[in-house]
Amino acid sequence: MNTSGNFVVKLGGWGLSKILGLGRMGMFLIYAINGLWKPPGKLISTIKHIYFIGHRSLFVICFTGAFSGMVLGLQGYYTLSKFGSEGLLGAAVSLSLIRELGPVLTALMVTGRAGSAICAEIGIMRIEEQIDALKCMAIDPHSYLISPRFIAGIICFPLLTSIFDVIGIYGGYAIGVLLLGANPGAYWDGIYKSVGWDDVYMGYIKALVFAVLTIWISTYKGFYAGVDSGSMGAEDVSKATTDAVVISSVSILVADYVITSILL
Amino acid sequence: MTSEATSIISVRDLQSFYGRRQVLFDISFDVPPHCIFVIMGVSGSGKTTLFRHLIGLKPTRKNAVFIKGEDISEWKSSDWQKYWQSIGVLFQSGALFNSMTLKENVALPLQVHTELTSDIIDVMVEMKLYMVGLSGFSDYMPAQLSGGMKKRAGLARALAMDPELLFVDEPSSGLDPITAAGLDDLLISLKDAFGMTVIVVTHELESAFKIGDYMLVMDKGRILACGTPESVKNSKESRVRQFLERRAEEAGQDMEAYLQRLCSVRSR
Amino acid sequence: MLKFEHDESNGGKLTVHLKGSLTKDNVVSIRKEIEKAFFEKSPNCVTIDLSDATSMDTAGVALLVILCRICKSRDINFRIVNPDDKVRKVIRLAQLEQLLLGNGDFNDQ
Ligand SMILES: Nc1ncnc2c1ncn2[C@@H]1O[C@H](COP(=O)(O)OP(=O)(O)OP(=O)(O)O)[C@@H](O)[C@H]1O
Ligand SMILES: [Mg+2]
Repeated sequence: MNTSGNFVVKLGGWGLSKILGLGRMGMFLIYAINGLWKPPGKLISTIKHIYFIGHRSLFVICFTGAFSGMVLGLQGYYTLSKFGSEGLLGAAVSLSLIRELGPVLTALMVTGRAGSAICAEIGIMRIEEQIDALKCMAIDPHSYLISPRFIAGIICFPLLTSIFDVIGIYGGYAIGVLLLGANPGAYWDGIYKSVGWDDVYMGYIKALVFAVLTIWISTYKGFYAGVDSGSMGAEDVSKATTDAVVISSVSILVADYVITSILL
Repeated sequence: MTSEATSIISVRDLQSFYGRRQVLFDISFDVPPHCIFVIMGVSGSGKTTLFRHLIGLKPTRKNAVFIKGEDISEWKSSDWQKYWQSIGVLFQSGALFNSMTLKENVALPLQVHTELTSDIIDVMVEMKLYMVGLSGFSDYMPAQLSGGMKKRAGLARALAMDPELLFVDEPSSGLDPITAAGLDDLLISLKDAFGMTVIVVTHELESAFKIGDYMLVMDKGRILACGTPESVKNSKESRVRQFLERRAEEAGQDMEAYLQRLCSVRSR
Repeated sequence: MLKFEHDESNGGKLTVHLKGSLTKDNVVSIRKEIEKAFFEKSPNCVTIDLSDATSMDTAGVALLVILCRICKSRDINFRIVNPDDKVRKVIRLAQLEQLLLGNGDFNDQ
């Protein structure tokens, strides 16, 4: 009786803490959006974060973009040539990149590279009392730390996604046309005929949603690192960082499915 | 001491908890304006916790802390913003922003809250760093400073806005006697020149009696003595005497519990 | 609050009377006015009269330092006179007596 009672109490406590956590996460987003209009000015810090999230991710994005496009070219060519329809290669590569792989892989790469760093940086500020110090200077930590990162994320994700798409399409061209000998005219013509505004629109919607998700989860996890346990130690930051990457990645994939099913 | 109306901070029966554990019991005292109020006490007695209540980092119950006669538990966020702009806080850990240089650390509140031009801010920052004895280090990163220097840099940042209420948590820990004496003089001249109210936690008895207009001695979350330096000095309370005479704990911590804990270690 | 007194006879002598408080809320506007006067009158001797300055914070001291610097760079004679006790304490806190108040002779005008 006692042990089962304990179990119920624990389960209830766990459930409550999760619900409270979700509520706090929602409030966190509202504060961050609200912070966009509060001082201090965000121009310089936003540019800094654009440099960090965008520019510093460029190499990884180009690299993964090129290889994704190449592998699509390879797979697509062999599959399509079975049906004698190599002419569709351009359409296949570009559509899968623009609608799916571009936004998803970009978001996953940026999460791994920048999301973890953002979370760790804010987490360290939390455990070293720097966030408390900001508060006591009457500087809203949401507005100072979180809002510029949101702006930077929302600017960078679509741009990085576009770069990924373009490089991927050239990667597919390099393999499918230059190496395997598909018709170059048909490749470009396929892209021209098949890719419509709908597809590009879907890709950008995804990129924007992923940007919000990634930045939201990474900053939130860092901001509350060690607050619940009260221990404020180094392992709280490492746990928060791991959580941030895992939860961001999972929610990117889930959101991808949801958006696709809504927009299709 | 002074009544609620004239004092800048009054604390009434403040209780404080971490989880279920109570760390402050029935704390009551008043801080009159334009004075240096020294809080002393054994390590772990709850001084930093008391601080966190006074600067609004730990939520406070109703009717426990009054600042300028207002109950802080009823403050809205705009009231807090106003309060936070008028105080300066030195954290026990320094809490410098470690991605910014010293200069940027000190300049930050000025850049955010005032319209001052950058050359005026530069001059002010240089002055603040000179006051705490760190001129010439303005382009250093916090990680390149020693522990005591970080503390002083934190003090310079707390002074950036010329606050009317200054909270300092152990400014002189990790400092040599000469530098520490310099800081004592600084606190006194700040009080004189700006009429600042300074609330300072310190373990240095000598400096406490040198700078303090009022004192509070805490032990295990309770107040042992409170009042002017003379009254504290003449206190008959044995724990206070022990504290002032720097005698080590005689009976040790709870010996019985200690032994019990040792004996209950299960052998494998 | 500012009042300017310009004496052309001695080759341009400008006296600035600062009244009231000189704090971070108003130093920027005060500075603008003073600099405007500098440009218009181009004096060769500037005196800041603090006899009616009631309070000052470190932003005020910073303004004085900057005025002093501007005058030095243009070879203008710069003096601060009649600081009251409170103001002098603030200047002393920043350890700028030497620079701003000179050595001792700050009371003659
Ligand atoms: N975040 C926390 N969670 C749980 N307990 C805490 C926390 N911070 C402090 N405590 C407890 O509160 C008590 C008072 O701590 P506090 O930091 O206020 O002491 P202090 O007087 O500032 O000590 P010191 O002079 O060493 O800085 C201690 O017993 C400590 O264990
Ligand atoms: Mg402490």
